[in-house]
This record gives sequence, C-alpha cells and structure tokens, in this order.
Amino acid sequence: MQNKGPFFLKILENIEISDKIYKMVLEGGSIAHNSSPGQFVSVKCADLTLRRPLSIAGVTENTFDLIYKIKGTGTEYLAALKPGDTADVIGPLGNGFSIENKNYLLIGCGVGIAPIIFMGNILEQKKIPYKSIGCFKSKYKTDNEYTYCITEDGSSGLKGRLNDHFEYILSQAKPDIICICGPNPAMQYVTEIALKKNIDIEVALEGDMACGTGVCMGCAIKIKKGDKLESAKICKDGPVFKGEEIIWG
Amino acid sequence: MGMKVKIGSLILQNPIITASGTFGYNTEYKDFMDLTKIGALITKGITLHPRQGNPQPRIKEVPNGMINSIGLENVGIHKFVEEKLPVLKENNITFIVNIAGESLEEYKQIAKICENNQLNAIELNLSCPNVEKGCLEFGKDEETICRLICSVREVFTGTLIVKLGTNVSFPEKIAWAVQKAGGDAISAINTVKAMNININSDYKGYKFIKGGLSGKCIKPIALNFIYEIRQHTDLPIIGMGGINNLNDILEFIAVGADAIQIGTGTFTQPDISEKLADELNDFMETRGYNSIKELADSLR
Repeated sequence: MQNKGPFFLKILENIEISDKIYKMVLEGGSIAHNSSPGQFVSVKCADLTLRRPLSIAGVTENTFDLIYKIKGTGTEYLAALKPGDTADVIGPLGNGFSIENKNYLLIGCGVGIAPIIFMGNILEQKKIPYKSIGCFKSKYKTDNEYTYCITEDGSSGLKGRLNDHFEYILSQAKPDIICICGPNPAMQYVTEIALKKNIDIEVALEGDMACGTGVCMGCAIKIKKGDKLESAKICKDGPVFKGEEIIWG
Repeated sequence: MGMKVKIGSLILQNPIITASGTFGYNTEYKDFMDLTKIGALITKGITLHPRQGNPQPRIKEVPNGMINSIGLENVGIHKFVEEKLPVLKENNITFIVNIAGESLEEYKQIAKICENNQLNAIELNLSCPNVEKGCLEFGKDEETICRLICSVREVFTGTLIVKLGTNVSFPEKIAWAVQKAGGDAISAINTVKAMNININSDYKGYKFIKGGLSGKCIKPIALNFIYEIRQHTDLPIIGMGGINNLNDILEFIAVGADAIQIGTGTFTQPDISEKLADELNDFMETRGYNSIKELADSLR
C-alpha cells in the first residue's frame, strides 16, 4: 500500500511558459519519490465536482512540476493560484513509460511535452541514450533543451510541424523505442511510421476522467491485445499504452 | 449501540456506505483511505455476463455535478465471484453486491449465484438509466417490481435492498410495493436522466451526451423523494444523492433515511467516506446521541 493522498501541498511557482500553458512547482516528497514519467496527479479545483488530471513534468528531492494548459473553469482556477497557496492533490496515478537500456526518441507536442521532459531527466540520470523532439506553436520559455525543436512559426529551431521533419530526424536518431505525448493525429502519424519500421512505440493518451483511480469506467477505451479487443481505462491501465494497442478514431 | 445500523439481517458499524459504480469492486481505494472504517461498500453493478458498456463519451462535468453514461461495463458475476470476492473477504470489508439484469430470469440467476456463495446482501439495481434493456423498466411500476422481488426472494435469503430512481410516476406506490413483496430496504436515488449539449462553434449542429446526472445538484431531488416514500414504508431507507458533508447526512436522516451512500463525492474527495464516518462519530459523541435512531428522532 502506498499513500496517494489527498495531500495538501504548497505551491512554490506557477508561471505561464507559453500561450495558455503553465508550469506549476509544488512541494511534496511523497509524490516526488514515487512518480515515474507518464504518470499523473489529480488536483481539486475549488468547488468543481471533478478533479483535473495533470501530467507530472519532473521531480526533485522534495518537489515536483506540473505542466498544464488552460482549457476551462478548472484549469483557469489553477492558473490563478499563487506561490504560497495550497493545492489538494492525489497521486501519482496510472502507469508510465517503460524504462529499459535502449536507444530512445522522445517526442512531446505542445502541453504533451510534460512527461517527455520528465522522461528525458530520468534517462539522463540512468545514462540511457536518447534524443528528443519538442514541437510547439511558438517559442517556449522553459529551461529544457531538446535535440530538435520544431515551431510552427519558426521562432525557435526548425520551422513547420512534426511531419515536416519527422522522417529525417528518425533516420538520424535511429531509435529502438519512441515515446510520444501530444495530440492524437500526431501520435497516430508517429505510431504508423514506427510500426512500419519495427520500432517499439509507447504513447501517452489523454482522456476525460471522473475518478482517476479506475473505478468509474468513464475513460475506458477499447484496445487491441493480439487479435482480441479489450477494455482499458486510460487512468489506471494507461495513460501510457503500446502504440500497436491503440485504435485511432 | 453507537453508530450501528441494521439493514435487513445485515449489521453495519456505521451508516456510511459507498455507492455502486463509484468505489470499484473491492480495494481500489486502499491507497487513499482505511477501507475498514466505512459501514459497507457496494460493488460496481454486476450482470450475469460481462458487459462492454457504452461508447465514448461517457462522462461530462456540469455545474455542481456530472452526467455519466457508462452503460454498466463490468466483469460479470462469474469473474466477480472468482476474482473480486476473495479480495473483499481477505480484507474484512462489509460489502453489498449490486446486481442488474436484462430480464427477470437474469436477476434471479445472479441472485442464486450470490446465495450459493453465501453473500449476505444484494442491492437490486432497478433504476440505471444508461442501458437499453432491463434495470429501469423493472423499476417503473409496482406490479413488475413485486414480481421481480418475489422471484429473487425465492432464491436469495440474505438482505435484499432495492435501489430506486426518480424516473417513476408514483414513488410512494413503488416503495409500498417493495415492502409488500419482501424487500428489506430501499436505497434511493439513482442518477437522474439528463442531457448536456455543446453547440458547435460555427453554430451548425451540436454534440451531446445523455445519461444519469449525479452530484450536489441532485440533492434537493433526492431529499424530496426520500421524504415522500418515508410516508409510505416502514423499511429502512438508504439515502443518497449529492452527499458531500456532515450536514448533508443530517438532512437525509431528517427526511427519513436510516443510512446513506456516498457516490460522486468520492470522485471529488477519495477519502470522503472515511472522513464523514469520523465526523458523524464525533458529532454524535459531542452532542450525546447514543444511536442513529436517537439522532433521527431528534432531527424529525
């Protein structure tokens, strides 16, 4: 048994790092110690009925980072919180990316960069080789550097979108495994190429959740297990799945 | 006596019960709270055969609540008995199995399996609004309810709780029917039929979800329902619908509930049932109530 909260945690930082995308740093040793890249926490937002699931973007000894995008009332509430305020957090939840001694290519698009930053840090610590791609609309105000940065407006790194540069980067990076988090069309595009080229692929999905703990079945999807279809909960069985399991709608 | 309540032959250490569909099958919430602190756990609704449930989208948050359209996705009674039941027993959790059928015969078959496995209590789901066949259609009129309860009674000797919803014309007649047919208790209310609309940004067409509404917004509906059926039955009533704090519990007891269930509240605060059991205990001790009955008598 692991205590997953609720924890009442002090916010140390909460800043806008790109248009409507925020980074929040919270104090919280338990979550920092027990998290792995791809896992998430769920945060209570004022009087709203449902918590908001947010991806963990990195940890230190006693703190952890979240990166989130303002999408509605819940995330608007979070964005207005100030350093010194308290957040009601449960986690870590779900299952993260597999970590093996292989050559990795990490891809994060937009707010999907959160688990990719965390994964890069962990691979770095474990001295596992990797390259990374960060895809954004425009320049990002973070400390993180990616092997390849792609921006739609060309304000940083390569100009264009992921599919303008992906096949070239793939030929350079020659990964054994790809980990990606981003919009479904980008993840579908990369998955199809990876499977064709026999490269392992893991995708981190997003979904509307009520409980975040696997009981409500609100986020359940069908996944492929060999020839069979099985039900899987994004919150509990994921959010990371093998690319070949996903049925892209 | 303290907080103990008796529902049929089932004795609960306190009146706080976790509602079906919001607490899993057994120990899903063990990382968030002490599961032995609650009065009872009601399992996810179980059908005779495994069910796939409805396609996405299945949930939508609305002001002060949420709509769900899960469609009773569950592992089925056989897998429940094989895999989920041993864990409930190992962990000493008092539990009630929520069962749902597509036909009268199915309810009976599941109840028989529960009897054969010496399960103490079942809750008949006669009110799920999210499935095409069964459930709600059995809970709509008193004659069907009577027939269903009578035939389940033939095969099941344990505590029989009947879960009702508001999607009925005469709640008081239904409540009376449950008592007449041999039900041990009524739990109410299930989610309320509802719909959410999202108009497309170009104002051409819309997206929607139809399902069951739950959360704080249905509390006034639930209180009224329980108030009305209380006048027509002596059976214990397990009240639910938007309970989030101690005062909510007192309101349900005031209108006639003997125990309560926490549903959507667990999604907001995963340890809420443990916290409320503690708060109710402290409240009763401080105020000098020796039993839930004493508290109820004072409130009513």
